[in-house]
Amino acid sequence: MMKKYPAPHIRGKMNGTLIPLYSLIALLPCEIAAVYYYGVRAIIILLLSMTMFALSDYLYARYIRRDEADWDTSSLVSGAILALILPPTVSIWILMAGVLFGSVIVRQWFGGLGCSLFHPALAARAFLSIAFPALVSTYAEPITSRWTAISLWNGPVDTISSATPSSGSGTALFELFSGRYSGALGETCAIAIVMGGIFLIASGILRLHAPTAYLLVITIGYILSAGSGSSVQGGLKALITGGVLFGAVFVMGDTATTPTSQTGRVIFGAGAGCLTLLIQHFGNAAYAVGFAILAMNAVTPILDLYIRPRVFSKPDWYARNVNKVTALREKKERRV
Amino acid sequence: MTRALLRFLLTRAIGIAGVTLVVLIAMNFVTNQRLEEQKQDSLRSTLGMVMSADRYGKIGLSSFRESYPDMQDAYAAYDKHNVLIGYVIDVKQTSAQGEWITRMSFSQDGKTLNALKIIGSGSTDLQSIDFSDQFSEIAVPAALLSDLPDETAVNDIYPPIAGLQDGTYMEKLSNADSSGYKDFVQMVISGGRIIQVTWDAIQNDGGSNRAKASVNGEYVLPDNTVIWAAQAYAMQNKLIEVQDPTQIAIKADGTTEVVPDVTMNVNAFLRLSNKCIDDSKNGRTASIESPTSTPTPNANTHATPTAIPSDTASISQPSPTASPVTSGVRPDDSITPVPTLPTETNGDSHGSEDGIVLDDKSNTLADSIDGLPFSEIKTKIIGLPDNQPSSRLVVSAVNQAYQFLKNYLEGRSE
Repeated sequence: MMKKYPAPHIRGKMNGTLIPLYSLIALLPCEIAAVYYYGVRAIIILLLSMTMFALSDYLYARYIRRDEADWDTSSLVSGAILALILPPTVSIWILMAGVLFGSVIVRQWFGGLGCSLFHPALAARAFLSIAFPALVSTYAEPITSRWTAISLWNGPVDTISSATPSSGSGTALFELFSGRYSGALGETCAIAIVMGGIFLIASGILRLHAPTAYLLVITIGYILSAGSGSSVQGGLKALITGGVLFGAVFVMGDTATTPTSQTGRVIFGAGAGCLTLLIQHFGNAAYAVGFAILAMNAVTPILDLYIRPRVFSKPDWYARNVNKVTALREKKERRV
Repeated sequence: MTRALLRFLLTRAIGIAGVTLVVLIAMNFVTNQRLEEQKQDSLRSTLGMVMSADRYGKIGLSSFRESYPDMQDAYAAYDKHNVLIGYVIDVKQTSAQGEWITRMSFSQDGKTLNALKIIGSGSTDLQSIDFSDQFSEIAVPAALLSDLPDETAVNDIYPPIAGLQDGTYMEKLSNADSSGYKDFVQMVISGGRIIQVTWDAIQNDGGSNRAKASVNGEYVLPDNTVIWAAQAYAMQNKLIEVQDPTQIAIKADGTTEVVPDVTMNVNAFLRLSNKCIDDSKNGRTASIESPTSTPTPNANTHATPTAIPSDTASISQPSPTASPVTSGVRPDDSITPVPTLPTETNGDSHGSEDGIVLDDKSNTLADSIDGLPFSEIKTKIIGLPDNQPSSRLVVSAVNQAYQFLKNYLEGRSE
């Protein structure tokens, strides 16, 4: 008897388990940079965030008896991203509040894996920056605070040296690339983000439409605002500071919260870029990237609705690949 | 997930982690060099105003913070061959007029102040050339002229003993008291005046000197009031002040009421001081007093014999010239009177039991400035006539920096 399977029928080697694992490997450079600059504290924050996120997702899915309740590797990615976009001085209870918000409210209440409307880590960070603005806006100096005993529970209260958020102003471009300035745990080291991005692109996970459009709009925005005073160095600074590069590489590649079509992703990226510029100029510059991407997350279902991919409806494509499709179908049937 | 896939992912993870580490370390090595160069450029532009150097190395102040709370920063300055050329020290001060930083450069031995600048708008008149130029290439420590007692007035009140010859003289008892200590007095005479007196006692069996033992709590006076070292220090200062041991009247039990807070037997001190004065008059640099005059030990000692004290040698072979450096154990500053201008006094005395008590002149003749004895002051500074308090603060900053450097250099040599 023939069994019926829903589309898609052509599958790549990547799946829901492998993609998060690749993402975790891509996040490694940022995590290593965080530990290099902020020491043991960074390790604790990273491990706690990842394990608490995974545990929270698992327990909640079990609690509501969801069928697919299982250990989900994408929870680890969300936990890692949340830790990396928080300041190194964040206290454990603030981290826990963020994890619970991102995991339960943003992710599980919207249907779990692949169903969340907003990126869980970004939404959690936005929640924390609105609910506890003072406690998530104190930044420690890198290296100097590497082995200093900042209380994990009290957070910024015990911070020995604090600085302004990662605007990067007054810092040389080389230091911006190396990440040697105060900022979020994993957002400052541009070279680590680029390495993670290269790995994701080489693995075929990161689709470049949204990030390219996003970075392009940011660059154009910088040129327009700087006018005759614009320079390559200034443009690069605009791209690698304030979490712009991190957002482009690790958040815009999220398959659940970005549009499925190429055009949709370009619009998503461009829209996020415009909103980032607007928020940077008129609003909370410290977390402009996060709010902009979250706003575009909300638009994603509409973009998917109106800009649908029409891959199989194209006669010329089907004509070119009909033999391949037939062969695959036969192979599958034989296996069944 | 297959084992091969796991191995594949693990290899990728290790590879990317290794590359990241190498890149991070390399980038930070370069960043460190760049930041250090930037820091040195910044230091050259700021500290260069008092001492030009190729490189400045910061001196950690954490262990000195308690003793020198106003110290802001301290740097060692090096030339292009990495040879030490001096020190730059910032002292932060506050007065009613505001805050300022006194930036000073010192020679390698810390005894010469090369230049001084006042930074900050706290007291603009201090930045006047007339005032700050006085601090160029001077020996330290320094004192405001108004802080020092008028030498003429002092001479009138307490004239020096006639016939004293300059030099260092030392007298000690030949016999130990019941606690095992042998008292000695070392006296420095310069310009015909007694400028430095040290009263202490060496332990017969090689333990700590009495002053040190009393500071350490190993030698306790029976009345358990002021420690022996503090009382001895007060006696030394009194003798420097009055110049003549006969001016310090003692009672039958060997105590005196002339010096406040001194309750112990000072017979030995006065006897040995008189002998030193005799030596000075006769040009003898050292002698031993006859064993008949052993003072009554007025204390319970708990001293434990230890190694032979390092200062024994300097006692047996005193320096032939007057040394400006204070010797002996310096007790609590609280016994040091506040430096004030000398005021008029007739030096009258009135009777008391079996001795005489002179008028208390401790307030009229200051014996130290910023914790430094007058004998140590090397340079006199003329303060701003209409801003003496701020002038005093600047001089105090110089002396604080001098004391810090002295301690720092002593610590390094050890």
